[in-house]
Amino acid sequence: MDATERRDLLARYSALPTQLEALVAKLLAGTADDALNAPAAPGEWSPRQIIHHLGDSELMDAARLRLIAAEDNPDITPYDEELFAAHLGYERPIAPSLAALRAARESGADLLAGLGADDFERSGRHPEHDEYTLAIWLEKAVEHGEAHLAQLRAALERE
Amino acid sequence: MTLDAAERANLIRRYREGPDILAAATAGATGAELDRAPADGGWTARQVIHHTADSEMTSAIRLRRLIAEDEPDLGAYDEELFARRLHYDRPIVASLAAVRAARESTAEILDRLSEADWRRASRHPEHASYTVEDWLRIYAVHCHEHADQIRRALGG
Repeated sequence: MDATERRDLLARYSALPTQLEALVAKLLAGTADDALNAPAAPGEWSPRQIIHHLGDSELMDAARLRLIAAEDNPDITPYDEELFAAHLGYERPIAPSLAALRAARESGADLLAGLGADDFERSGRHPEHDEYTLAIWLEKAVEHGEAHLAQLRAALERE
Repeated sequence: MTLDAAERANLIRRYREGPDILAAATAGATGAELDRAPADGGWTARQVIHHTADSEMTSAIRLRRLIAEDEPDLGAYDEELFARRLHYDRPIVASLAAVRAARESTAEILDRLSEADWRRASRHPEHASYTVEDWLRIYAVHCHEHADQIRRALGG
C-alpha cells in the first residue's frame, strides 16, 4: 500500500460517521412509519440492527487497531456478529451506537495519522485470514462501513 | 458473592457518571499541565486519558462478548506497551469522546440484562472467575480511579 492509497483510505475511514448520520436523518425524515425497524431488504437486518452492528464492530476494530499497532503479532479473536445481534438488545435506541462509531473512528484517525509506513505492515494473527496487516485491517474497516452504508442507502431508496 | 439489585443499580450509576468525572478532572488544564511528569514517575494526565479510552473501548467489547458468547476468551493487552507505542502524546478530545461513547452505548446494554445475564462468565487470562458482575465492579470505578490519578498528575 503506497502513501496515496493510504491517504485515500484514511479519508474514507474518517468520512463514514458523517455519511452515516446524514443517511439515518433521511431515513427518519421519510414517510415510512417503521423505517428503522423493517428489514433493509428481505432476509436482511433492519437499519436499527445494522447501526448497532456498526457501533459494536467499530469498537471491536478500535481494539484490534491498537493491539496490532502496539503488540508484536497479537492474536486477533473473531466474534460472531449474529450472536451479537441476537443477544445485545439491538432493539435499543440508536444514538449511542452512532456516537460509538463516530468516537471510535475519530480516535482511530488520530492514532492512524501518527503511524509511519512501516507500522501499516505490522501484523496480527487472525484465524480466518492468512495475512492480517494494519493495511489490510484499514482496507477491511473502510469496505465494511461503506458496504453497510450502501445497504442503508438501498433501503432508503425502496422506502 | 452476587450483588443485589440496589448494589448493581448503584454501580451502574457510577459507571454512567464516569465520563463526566474524567472530563471534570481535566477541565481547564493546559497542554503543558497535561504533559507534566508526576513526581511518582507515573503517567502524565494526557497518557492517563488515552489509557482510559483504550481500556474503556476494550471493556465495552469484553462486556458484549460476555453477554453474547458462551465462556468467551476475553484476551489481554499490555497497557504499558500501548502507552509507549500508541502515540499517547496526541490531543485528548477524541479519547474523552471515546470514553463517553463506549460507556453510553454499553450502559444501554447493562440496563437490559436479565438476572441470568449477570452471572454469565468468561475464561480470562488474568482472573480466575470473571462474571458480568465482576466486570461491573471493576469498571464502575475505573474512570473515578483515573480521575484521581489525573488530579495527582496535574498537581491539584
